[in-house]
Amino acid sequence: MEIKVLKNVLDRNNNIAEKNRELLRIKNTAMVNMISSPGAGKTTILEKTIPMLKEKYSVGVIEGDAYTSKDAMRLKKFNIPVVQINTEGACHLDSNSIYEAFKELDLEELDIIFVENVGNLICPAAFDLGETIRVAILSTTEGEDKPSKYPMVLRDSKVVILNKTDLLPYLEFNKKEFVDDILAVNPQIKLIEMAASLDSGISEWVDWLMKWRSHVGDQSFSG
Amino acid sequence: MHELAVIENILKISTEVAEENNLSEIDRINLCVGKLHHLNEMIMQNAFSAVKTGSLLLKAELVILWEPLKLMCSDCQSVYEPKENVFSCPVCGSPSTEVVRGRELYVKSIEGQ
Repeated sequence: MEIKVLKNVLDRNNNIAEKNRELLRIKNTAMVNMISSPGAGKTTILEKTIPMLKEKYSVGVIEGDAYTSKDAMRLKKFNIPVVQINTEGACHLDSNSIYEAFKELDLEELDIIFVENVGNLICPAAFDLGETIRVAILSTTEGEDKPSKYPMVLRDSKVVILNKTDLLPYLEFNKKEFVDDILAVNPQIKLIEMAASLDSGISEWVDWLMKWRSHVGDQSFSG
Repeated sequence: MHELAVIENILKISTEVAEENNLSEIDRINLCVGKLHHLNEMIMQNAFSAVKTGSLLLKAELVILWEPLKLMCSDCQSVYEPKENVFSCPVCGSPSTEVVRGRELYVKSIEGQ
Protein backbone atom coordinates (compact mmCIF):
# COMPACT_ATOMS: atom_id res chain seq x y z
CA MET A 1 0.00 0.00 0.00
CA GLU A 2 1.08 3.54 -0.75
CA ILE A 3 0.69 6.23 1.88
CA LYS A 4 0.79 9.87 0.90
CA VAL A 5 3.22 11.81 3.09
CA LEU A 6 3.92 15.19 1.42
CA LYS A 7 6.21 16.31 4.20
CA ASN A 8 9.09 18.72 3.69
CA VAL A 9 12.39 17.07 4.57
CA LEU A 10 13.75 20.27 6.08
CA ASP A 11 10.58 20.98 8.09
CA ARG A 12 12.29 20.57 11.42
CA ASN A 13 15.11 22.94 10.45
CA ASN A 14 12.68 25.45 8.93
CA ASN A 15 10.44 25.44 12.01
CA ILE A 16 13.32 26.15 14.39
CA ALA A 17 14.60 28.79 11.96
CA GLU A 18 11.22 30.55 12.20
CA LYS A 19 11.48 30.37 15.99
CA ASN A 20 14.93 31.99 15.81
CA ARG A 21 13.64 34.67 13.46
CA GLU A 22 10.77 35.49 15.81
CA LEU A 23 13.16 35.66 18.78
CA LEU A 24 15.41 38.08 16.88
CA ARG A 25 12.41 40.20 15.94
CA ILE A 26 11.22 40.45 19.54
CA LYS A 27 14.69 41.38 20.78
CA ASN A 28 15.24 43.78 17.87
CA THR A 29 18.47 42.04 16.93
CA ALA A 30 19.54 41.50 13.31
CA MET A 31 21.47 38.45 12.16
CA VAL A 32 23.76 38.18 9.12
CA ASN A 33 24.47 34.68 7.79
CA MET A 34 27.84 34.78 6.00
CA ILE A 35 28.35 32.04 3.43
CA SER A 36 31.49 31.40 1.39
CA SER A 37 34.04 28.81 0.31
CA PRO A 38 36.86 28.04 2.74
CA GLY A 39 39.49 30.77 2.60
CA ALA A 40 37.39 33.43 0.88
CA GLY A 41 38.05 35.82 3.75
CA LYS A 42 35.05 35.70 6.10
CA THR A 43 37.10 36.02 9.28
CA THR A 44 39.36 38.75 7.88
CA ILE A 45 36.30 40.73 6.78
CA LEU A 46 34.85 40.41 10.29
CA GLU A 47 38.17 41.49 11.81
CA LYS A 48 37.97 44.68 9.75
CA THR A 49 34.23 45.22 10.15
CA ILE A 50 33.79 44.76 13.89
CA PRO A 51 36.02 47.66 15.11
CA MET A 52 34.13 50.08 12.83
CA LEU A 53 30.67 48.81 13.72
CA LYS A 54 31.44 48.66 17.42
CA GLU A 55 31.44 52.44 17.64
CA LYS A 56 27.73 52.49 16.96
CA TYR A 57 26.37 48.99 17.50
CA SER A 58 26.68 46.15 19.93
CA VAL A 59 27.99 43.20 17.92
CA GLY A 60 28.23 39.45 18.57
CA VAL A 61 29.52 36.55 16.49
CA ILE A 62 28.51 32.92 16.13
CA GLU A 63 31.44 31.02 14.68
CA GLY A 64 30.77 27.81 12.80
CA ASP A 65 33.84 25.72 12.32
CA ALA A 66 34.16 22.06 11.44
CA TYR A 67 36.76 21.25 14.12
CA THR A 68 38.80 24.17 15.49
CA SER A 69 38.36 27.39 17.45
CA LYS A 70 41.00 29.27 15.44
CA ASP A 71 38.55 31.74 13.88
CA ALA A 72 36.84 32.42 17.21
CA MET A 73 40.23 33.16 18.80
CA ARG A 74 40.92 35.76 16.11
CA LEU A 75 37.74 37.65 17.05
CA LYS A 76 37.94 37.47 20.83
CA LYS A 77 40.44 40.35 20.89
CA PHE A 78 37.59 42.76 20.17
CA ASN A 79 35.97 42.08 23.54
CA ILE A 80 32.71 41.06 22.00
CA PRO A 81 30.67 37.92 22.68
CA VAL A 82 31.81 35.09 20.39
CA VAL A 83 30.11 31.71 20.53
CA GLN A 84 31.92 28.83 18.94
CA ILE A 85 29.98 25.98 17.35
CA ASN A 86 32.00 22.96 16.29
CA THR A 87 30.01 21.04 13.74
CA GLU A 88 32.21 17.94 14.21
CA GLY A 89 32.91 17.77 10.51
CA ALA A 90 29.38 18.61 9.34
CA CYS A 91 29.37 20.86 6.30
CA HIS A 92 26.82 23.44 7.46
CA LEU A 93 25.23 25.06 10.49
CA ASP A 94 21.59 24.29 11.17
CA SER A 95 18.91 26.31 12.92
CA ASN A 96 19.07 24.23 16.08
CA SER A 97 22.76 24.94 16.64
CA ILE A 98 21.95 28.66 16.33
CA TYR A 99 19.08 28.29 18.80
CA GLU A 100 21.51 26.70 21.25
CA ALA A 101 24.09 29.45 20.62
CA PHE A 102 21.45 32.11 21.40
CA LYS A 103 21.36 30.80 24.98
CA GLU A 104 24.93 31.99 25.43
CA LEU A 105 24.23 35.46 24.04
CA ASP A 106 22.36 38.39 25.52
CA LEU A 107 20.06 39.03 22.57
CA GLU A 108 18.49 42.00 24.36
CA GLU A 109 21.86 43.69 24.40
CA LEU A 110 22.99 42.89 20.83
CA ASP A 111 22.17 44.88 17.69
CA ILE A 112 23.88 42.68 15.11
CA ILE A 113 24.94 39.03 15.19
CA PHE A 114 27.25 37.75 12.48
CA VAL A 115 27.12 34.04 11.79
CA GLU A 116 30.27 32.75 10.18
CA ASN A 117 28.95 29.64 8.49
CA VAL A 118 31.11 26.62 7.69
CA GLY A 119 33.17 27.28 4.54
CA ASN A 120 31.04 25.74 1.79
CA LEU A 121 28.85 27.24 -0.95
CA ILE A 122 26.35 24.43 -1.33
CA CYS A 123 25.12 22.97 1.94
CA PRO A 124 24.67 26.12 4.05
CA ALA A 125 22.41 27.49 1.29
CA ALA A 126 19.80 24.81 2.05
CA PHE A 127 19.64 25.48 5.78
CA ASP A 128 17.70 28.51 6.93
CA LEU A 129 19.09 29.65 10.29
CA GLY A 130 16.42 32.28 10.89
CA GLU A 131 18.82 35.00 9.75
CA THR A 132 17.67 38.47 8.79
CA ILE A 133 19.88 38.52 5.71
CA ARG A 134 22.32 36.28 3.94
CA VAL A 135 25.61 37.56 2.55
CA ALA A 136 27.71 35.60 0.06
CA ILE A 137 31.47 36.11 -0.07
CA LEU A 138 33.37 35.02 -3.15
CA SER A 139 37.04 35.71 -3.81
CA THR A 140 38.86 36.36 -7.05
CA THR A 141 41.13 33.32 -6.58
CA GLU A 142 38.11 31.02 -6.84
CA GLY A 143 37.55 32.00 -10.48
CA GLU A 144 34.70 33.82 -12.18
CA ASP A 145 32.59 30.72 -12.73
CA LYS A 146 31.33 30.39 -9.15
CA PRO A 147 28.11 32.39 -9.58
CA SER A 148 26.86 30.08 -12.31
CA LYS A 149 27.89 26.95 -10.39
CA TYR A 150 26.24 27.91 -7.10
CA PRO A 151 23.12 29.89 -7.97
CA MET A 152 21.11 29.04 -4.84
CA VAL A 153 23.35 30.89 -2.42
CA LEU A 154 23.38 33.97 -4.65
CA ARG A 155 19.66 33.84 -5.32
CA ASP A 156 18.98 34.09 -1.58
CA SER A 157 21.66 36.65 -0.67
CA LYS A 158 21.14 40.37 -0.18
CA VAL A 159 24.80 41.24 -0.70
CA VAL A 160 27.68 39.56 -2.50
CA ILE A 161 31.21 40.57 -1.63
CA LEU A 162 33.94 39.96 -4.20
CA ASN A 163 37.04 39.76 -2.01
CA LYS A 164 40.76 39.79 -2.86
CA THR A 165 40.39 42.25 -5.74
CA ASP A 166 44.00 43.29 -5.04
CA LEU A 167 45.06 40.02 -6.68
CA LEU A 168 43.25 40.76 -9.95
CA PRO A 169 46.42 41.86 -11.79
CA TYR A 170 47.91 38.40 -11.17
CA LEU A 171 44.87 36.35 -12.10
CA GLU A 172 42.98 35.53 -15.24
CA PHE A 173 39.70 36.55 -13.69
CA ASN A 174 36.96 37.73 -16.01
CA LYS A 175 35.15 40.27 -13.86
CA LYS A 176 32.54 41.12 -16.48
CA GLU A 177 31.52 37.47 -16.74
CA PHE A 178 31.43 37.22 -12.94
CA VAL A 179 29.18 40.28 -12.58
CA ASP A 180 26.93 39.29 -15.49
CA ASP A 181 26.46 35.80 -14.07
CA ILE A 182 25.60 37.13 -10.63
CA LEU A 183 23.06 39.55 -12.02
CA ALA A 184 21.60 36.80 -14.21
CA VAL A 185 20.81 34.84 -11.05
CA ASN A 186 19.89 37.76 -8.80
CA PRO A 187 19.50 41.20 -10.37
CA GLN A 188 18.60 42.81 -7.03
CA ILE A 189 21.81 41.80 -5.24
CA LYS A 190 24.22 44.46 -3.92
CA LEU A 191 27.79 43.81 -5.14
CA ILE A 192 30.71 45.12 -3.10
CA GLU A 193 34.28 44.78 -4.33
CA MET A 194 36.79 44.36 -1.56
CA ALA A 195 40.40 43.70 -0.68
CA ALA A 196 39.79 43.14 3.02
CA SER A 197 43.41 42.71 4.05
CA LEU A 198 44.17 46.16 2.56
CA ASP A 199 40.99 47.72 4.01
CA SER A 200 39.71 48.42 0.51
CA GLY A 201 35.92 48.22 0.24
CA ILE A 202 35.44 47.85 3.99
CA SER A 203 33.93 51.29 4.51
CA GLU A 204 31.44 50.74 1.66
CA TRP A 205 30.40 47.48 3.32
CA VAL A 206 30.18 48.99 6.80
CA ASP A 207 28.17 51.94 5.47
CA TRP A 208 25.80 49.52 3.78
CA LEU A 209 25.47 47.50 7.00
CA MET A 210 24.69 50.60 9.05
CA LYS A 211 22.09 51.77 6.58
CA TRP A 212 20.57 48.30 6.47
CA ARG A 213 20.60 47.95 10.27
CA SER A 214 18.73 51.20 10.72
CA HIS A 215 16.00 49.85 8.41
CA VAL A 216 15.60 46.34 9.87
CA GLY A 217 11.90 45.62 10.18
CA ASP A 218 11.18 48.10 7.40
CA GLN A 219 10.09 45.97 4.42
CA SER A 220 10.55 48.76 1.90
CA PHE A 221 14.37 48.84 2.30
CA SER A 222 15.82 47.52 -0.91
CA GLY A 223 19.50 48.06 -0.09
CA MET B 1 27.83 16.98 1.42
CA HIS B 2 24.55 17.77 3.17
CA GLU B 3 23.04 14.64 1.61
CA LEU B 4 23.51 12.74 4.86
CA ALA B 5 21.54 15.29 6.90
CA VAL B 6 18.79 15.17 4.30
CA ILE B 7 18.69 11.36 4.30
CA GLU B 8 18.50 11.22 8.09
CA ASN B 9 15.43 13.47 8.01
CA ILE B 10 13.85 11.36 5.26
CA LEU B 11 14.25 8.20 7.32
CA LYS B 12 12.84 9.92 10.40
CA ILE B 13 9.76 11.14 8.53
CA SER B 14 9.22 7.78 6.80
CA THR B 15 9.60 5.80 10.02
CA GLU B 16 7.07 8.01 11.81
CA VAL B 17 4.52 7.66 9.02
CA ALA B 18 5.07 3.88 8.81
CA GLU B 19 4.52 3.52 12.55
CA GLU B 20 1.37 5.64 12.48
CA ASN B 21 0.02 3.35 9.74
CA ASN B 22 1.19 0.12 11.38
CA LEU B 23 3.50 -0.88 8.54
CA SER B 24 6.02 -3.59 9.35
CA GLU B 25 8.09 -3.04 6.23
CA ILE B 26 8.78 -0.09 3.97
CA ASP B 27 9.46 -1.13 0.35
CA ARG B 28 9.83 2.24 -1.24
CA ILE B 29 10.26 5.89 -0.30
CA ASN B 30 9.25 8.32 -3.03
CA LEU B 31 11.11 11.57 -2.65
CA CYS B 32 10.67 14.76 -4.61
CA VAL B 33 13.80 16.91 -5.07
CA GLY B 34 14.13 20.24 -6.85
CA LYS B 35 17.22 20.82 -8.97
CA LEU B 36 18.08 24.05 -7.13
CA HIS B 37 19.18 22.02 -4.10
CA HIS B 38 22.37 20.68 -5.73
CA LEU B 39 21.77 17.26 -4.23
CA ASN B 40 23.66 14.41 -5.83
CA GLU B 41 21.73 11.21 -6.53
CA MET B 42 24.66 8.84 -6.10
CA ILE B 43 25.72 10.34 -2.77
CA MET B 44 22.12 10.25 -1.58
CA GLN B 45 21.74 6.59 -2.52
CA ASN B 46 25.01 5.72 -0.79
CA ALA B 47 24.03 7.65 2.33
CA PHE B 48 20.63 5.95 2.27
CA SER B 49 22.18 2.47 2.11
CA ALA B 50 24.58 3.34 4.90
CA VAL B 51 22.06 4.82 7.29
CA LYS B 52 18.94 2.64 6.90
CA THR B 53 18.87 0.13 9.71
CA GLY B 54 16.28 -2.09 11.39
CA SER B 55 13.70 -4.46 9.96
CA LEU B 56 11.33 -1.65 8.99
CA LEU B 57 13.79 -0.15 6.51
CA LEU B 58 15.96 -3.11 5.55
CA LYS B 59 14.38 -3.66 2.11
CA ALA B 60 13.45 -0.07 1.44
CA GLU B 61 14.57 1.58 -1.77
CA LEU B 62 14.79 5.31 -2.32
CA VAL B 63 13.19 6.61 -5.50
CA ILE B 64 13.99 10.21 -6.36
CA LEU B 65 11.70 12.22 -8.60
CA TRP B 66 13.67 15.20 -9.83
CA GLU B 67 11.86 18.49 -10.33
CA PRO B 68 13.48 20.78 -12.91
CA LEU B 69 14.24 24.39 -12.10
CA LYS B 70 11.47 26.56 -13.52
CA LEU B 71 11.22 30.30 -13.39
CA MET B 72 8.43 32.72 -14.15
CA CYS B 73 9.17 36.13 -15.60
CA SER B 74 7.61 38.86 -13.44
CA ASP B 75 7.12 41.07 -16.49
CA CYS B 76 5.83 38.89 -19.33
CA GLN B 77 4.79 35.85 -17.21
CA SER B 78 6.68 33.36 -19.40
CA VAL B 79 7.56 30.14 -17.60
CA TYR B 80 10.87 28.55 -18.60
CA GLU B 81 13.75 26.33 -17.56
CA PRO B 82 16.89 28.49 -17.35
CA LYS B 83 19.88 27.32 -19.34
CA GLU B 84 23.36 27.42 -17.77
CA ASN B 85 21.92 29.30 -14.79
CA VAL B 86 21.05 32.39 -16.74
CA PHE B 87 17.93 33.27 -14.81
CA SER B 88 16.80 36.26 -16.87
CA CYS B 89 13.80 35.81 -19.16
CA PRO B 90 14.68 34.36 -22.59
CA VAL B 91 11.54 35.89 -24.10
CA CYS B 92 11.65 39.55 -23.01
CA GLY B 93 15.06 39.72 -21.32
CA SER B 94 13.68 40.85 -17.95
CA PRO B 95 15.97 40.10 -14.98
CA SER B 96 13.02 40.03 -12.58
CA THR B 97 12.02 36.40 -12.03
CA GLU B 98 10.43 34.10 -9.50
CA VAL B 99 11.38 30.49 -8.80
CA VAL B 100 8.19 28.48 -9.39
CA ARG B 101 9.72 24.99 -9.34
CA GLY B 102 13.06 23.62 -8.19
CA ARG B 103 13.01 24.27 -4.45
CA GLU B 104 11.03 21.12 -3.63
CA LEU B 105 12.40 18.71 -1.07
CA TYR B 106 9.70 16.50 0.37
CA VAL B 107 8.75 12.90 0.99
CA LYS B 108 5.92 12.35 -1.47
CA SER B 109 4.81 8.93 -0.29
CA ILE B 110 5.96 5.68 1.19
CA GLU B 111 5.00 2.18 0.04
CA GLY B 112 4.99 -0.86 2.27
CA GLN B 113 3.00 -3.48 4.11
